[in-house]
Amino acid sequence: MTSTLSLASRLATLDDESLEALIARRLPLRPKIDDFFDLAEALLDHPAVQHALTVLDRPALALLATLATDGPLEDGTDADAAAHLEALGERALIERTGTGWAIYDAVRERLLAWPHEGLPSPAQLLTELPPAALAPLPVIEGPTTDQLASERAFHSVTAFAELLGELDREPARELQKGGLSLPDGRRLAAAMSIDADAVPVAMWLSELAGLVARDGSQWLTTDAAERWLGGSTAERWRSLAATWLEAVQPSIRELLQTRTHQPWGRALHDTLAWFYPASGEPLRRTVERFEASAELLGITARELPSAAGTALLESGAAAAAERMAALLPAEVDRVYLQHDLTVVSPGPLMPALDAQLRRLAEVESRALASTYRVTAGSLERAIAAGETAASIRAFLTGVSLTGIPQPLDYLIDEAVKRYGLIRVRDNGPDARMRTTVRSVDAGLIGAISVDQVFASLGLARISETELVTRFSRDVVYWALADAKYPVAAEDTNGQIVGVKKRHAPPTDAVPTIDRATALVAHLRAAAATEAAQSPEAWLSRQLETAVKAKVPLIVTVGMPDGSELDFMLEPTGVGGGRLRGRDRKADIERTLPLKSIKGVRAP
Amino acid sequence: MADGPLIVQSDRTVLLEVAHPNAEDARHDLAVFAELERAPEHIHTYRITRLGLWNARAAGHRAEDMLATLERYSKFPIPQSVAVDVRETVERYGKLVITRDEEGQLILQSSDHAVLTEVASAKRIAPLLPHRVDERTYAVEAWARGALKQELVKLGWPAEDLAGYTPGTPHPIDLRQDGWHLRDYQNKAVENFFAGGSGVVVLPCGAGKTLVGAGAMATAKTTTLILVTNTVSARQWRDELLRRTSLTEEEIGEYSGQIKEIKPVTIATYQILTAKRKGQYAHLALLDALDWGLVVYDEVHLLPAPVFKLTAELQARRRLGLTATLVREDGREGDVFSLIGPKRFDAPWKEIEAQGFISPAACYEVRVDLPPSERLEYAASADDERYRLAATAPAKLDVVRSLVKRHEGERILVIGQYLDQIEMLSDALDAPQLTGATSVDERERLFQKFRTGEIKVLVVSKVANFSVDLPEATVAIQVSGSFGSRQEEAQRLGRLLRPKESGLSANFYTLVARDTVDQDFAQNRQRFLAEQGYSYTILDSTSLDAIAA
Repeated sequence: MTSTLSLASRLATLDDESLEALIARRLPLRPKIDDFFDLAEALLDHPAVQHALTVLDRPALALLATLATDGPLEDGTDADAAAHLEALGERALIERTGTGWAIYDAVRERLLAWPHEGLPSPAQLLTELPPAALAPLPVIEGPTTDQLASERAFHSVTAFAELLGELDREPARELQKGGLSLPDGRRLAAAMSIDADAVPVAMWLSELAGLVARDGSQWLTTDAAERWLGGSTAERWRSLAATWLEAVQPSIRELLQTRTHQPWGRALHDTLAWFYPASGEPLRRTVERFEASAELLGITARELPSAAGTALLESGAAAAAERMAALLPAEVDRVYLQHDLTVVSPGPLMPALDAQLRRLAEVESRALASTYRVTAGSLERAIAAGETAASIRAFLTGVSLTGIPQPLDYLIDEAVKRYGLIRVRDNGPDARMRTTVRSVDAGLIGAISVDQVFASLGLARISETELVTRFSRDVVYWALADAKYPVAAEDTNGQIVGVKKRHAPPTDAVPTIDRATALVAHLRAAAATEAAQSPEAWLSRQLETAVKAKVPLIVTVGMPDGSELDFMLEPTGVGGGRLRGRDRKADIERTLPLKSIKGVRAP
Repeated sequence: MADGPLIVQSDRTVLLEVAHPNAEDARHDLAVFAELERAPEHIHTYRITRLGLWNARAAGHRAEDMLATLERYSKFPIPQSVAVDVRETVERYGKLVITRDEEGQLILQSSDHAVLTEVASAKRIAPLLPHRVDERTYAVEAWARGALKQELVKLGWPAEDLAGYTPGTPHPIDLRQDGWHLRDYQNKAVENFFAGGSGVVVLPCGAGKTLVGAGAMATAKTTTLILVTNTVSARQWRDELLRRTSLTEEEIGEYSGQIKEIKPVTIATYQILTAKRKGQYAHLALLDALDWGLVVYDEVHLLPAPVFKLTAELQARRRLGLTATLVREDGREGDVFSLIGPKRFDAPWKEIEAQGFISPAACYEVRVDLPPSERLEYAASADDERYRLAATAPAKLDVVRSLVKRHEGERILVIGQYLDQIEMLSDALDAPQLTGATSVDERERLFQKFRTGEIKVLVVSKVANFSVDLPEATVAIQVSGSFGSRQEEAQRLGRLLRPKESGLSANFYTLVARDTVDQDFAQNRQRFLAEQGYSYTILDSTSLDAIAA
């Protein structure tokens, strides 16, 4: 039997979706693949097979061990086994025979080589017992674990909100080799007040939760993030916890469900190492990630499942969130406004108010009680976004426990009065007069025209109240804003627009073309061409593969009388429109014209 | 307590909601171990620091008491990390004890073998410990008492110093309480100081730190060395001691750049102590000139670094530090803790203010519009010139005039940074000026005239900032000044915080050129003053009439 041949034939019959899934799952590297034979070869290549085996759990491996040592398995009645076999088939590790399943040679060889590499032998896979489970902890310090868990839950939900806010302000860059760029990692860690090590975990979970997405190399927030931000702390936690639960492999999840009153950590690792005997490093990384994220979310605290974590594993996210909500600090809807222009919420501020407050103040610290600071800049931003002195005062009066202090009141007036005194307008493509700076206050324009800071902008005064420059509007805008001039930017129609310091790419994500999809398209195209140009090409490829593999084939030949005859050949070469092969039965060398070969199949 | 006045945050800050009915009790208990960082009107921020915890431990408080305080008043559960941290940190204090053996030799002892071994093997500590006496004891080099304490604090294992003090040469000193007496908190400060050995008393400007010093001297009744920041301050100490104690002029000596007397009570400046001749400290002999039984450090937060080194060798003498703040701009709070001693007394400013001993100052920021010509000049100038231009804008002069007029009859300090501006202000206001160039005698004469009311307006430069009592000033107008330094702001406001006999409330004005760098710096000032709990109002120079007189 030639595994490659039969697999190639089987691959040719798969639909696009199954093919893409198989490629995505089985081929981590990018071998050169031009047709189904190449693909079959790549899938049965030793490293690729080993890669496929490492992610299998013990029940699946035990089935493979049986197939490897005892030969094909007939379809049985065990539903679990049937499901496992089906899954192994989807991974192209075994294939259907008429009445059951057979293992590919390459897979068997790999499995049989395991004992030499320190991995379990087929016999061990079939007989080894799991490590003894630890006895459940006698008395778990529930309240302490739960309190710590709720602290973590609160902190991480807050941190995720900060993460989204920060990404909104400035997207983060993903490096070519994977992972966030160092400065972005640090920036996000600072915004979230977490260790830099925890940022990748947070990003991973945020991506799974659909809160962030990648557009090319840029990490951006999604629409779902906005909805998520509108929820209460408990609601936000619930969605993160649900995401976490979904991200945990079903088999591991089942395992965890049996360990809700036992510490994770080392004991869990031992069990998992038994359960996934060949997994090694990748599994360790996966487990570390879900453990780290569980600690982050308060599903566990110091390796012990919290009450909410237990509820999550046993009854799902809704029950867990209910448990967690009872432990989270109560939200407040009033804040203190102070003379030093700080705004302090004496507890977690309701998300809607928090969002509104952020429009007109900078966040200074996020914790149980958060501090915001109103600055000229933050007010300017709010005014640019459509707020007025009246709307700002109305909001602040509504949330303040203590009225509006005079310095803040003054600042609001000042900001409104100053806002837009200077306008910078985009004039379109005219290179010399690309941007106009104008103001009703000729004094201000005079000051700008002599200001040393703007010397490099080459501003030319064209009237009492107008300057022009060849620099872009945004450059001019930021130069003026940084120098504390009351500036607003206008588009070509004179509408006031916000200017971002660094251009973020458009938020509607451009889908990146999936490697598997591309490969399948390539295969289909190649197959179509081959079939159209030469019906013999497919046959020829099949035969070449058989020659290379030195395996016997059943070749069906059309005889001149219209009948067909099967030969069992060990092909030795294809060339000049003929197949040469040794006929074992007759013990002679045969040469068959390709055009008379009707088909080949594995014996 | 659910819904208490405190919010304990995981970064070890503690917020206090001032309006809460239990706020006062909570503040009182919290101040034992947490440092007040900011006190704007509604929410005060305290920070639980290692030194704060050790200070509390030194005063006999246990971690359980501190955590109980937090739990009693906290609105939300105490973050676990904070609880663990507090316990761990507090336990570290007193694990090590510096004391003397039967022969009077210094030893370092600990009941914790592991800790003792750990610190003794530290690179910077090993040379200070010549040999191990037994399982729990190391001998300490006779000269190394201060250095050892410094290093131990750095390692996070502060030692309790029970090695005692030399009594000093006895000298009779009594308080002359005729028509006045020490206030309760001053008595309490003296009492705590003696109970603790050495250490620091923290009191706001104007709360009578000098009297606490005098009280301590009258208790110790021994020869005393007083270290102060400058000569003017030295003379104020002398005058105050003559007025309040039984000491006579013959018993008090001044050791400064001008005069070098050594008497039973000697007042020396930090400057003279750190003066070098040919690379050597020239006046070190002063420290051993007499058998001082008490050393008083005025304004401990300004103690120059070399004096720390000298103080490390003065550990056998009882040391009293006086200051308005433990915060040092150079971050050497740990050295104050290890070399002068733990905090022995601390009264929050506002509390003392509420007792009526210091009058609250109202702070105003007056925004001055630059006329177009000045505005253009400002815009056209280079960055490094801009601050000076904004600070010295002539437009400020009219505002100063109008403020002086508004407060006619009160005693007014006009404060500037630039000599030519001071000159101009002095001319324009027809008021004497006092700068670094003014001689000590002239300075004293001017201050004296100002106190008596002969002079109403005084234009001063930075020199007036430190340690000078001008109790009669009720108005300060800051026209220009260096910026960003919290200490300077505190000093400046301290001028106005002294108890007022006139009953007038104090006003502090800063003039700021609008839309200039001046305004940026003013922002820091506003923040700092508001954080200290002062009201702060921003005014336009054009609407000065709005100021409540």
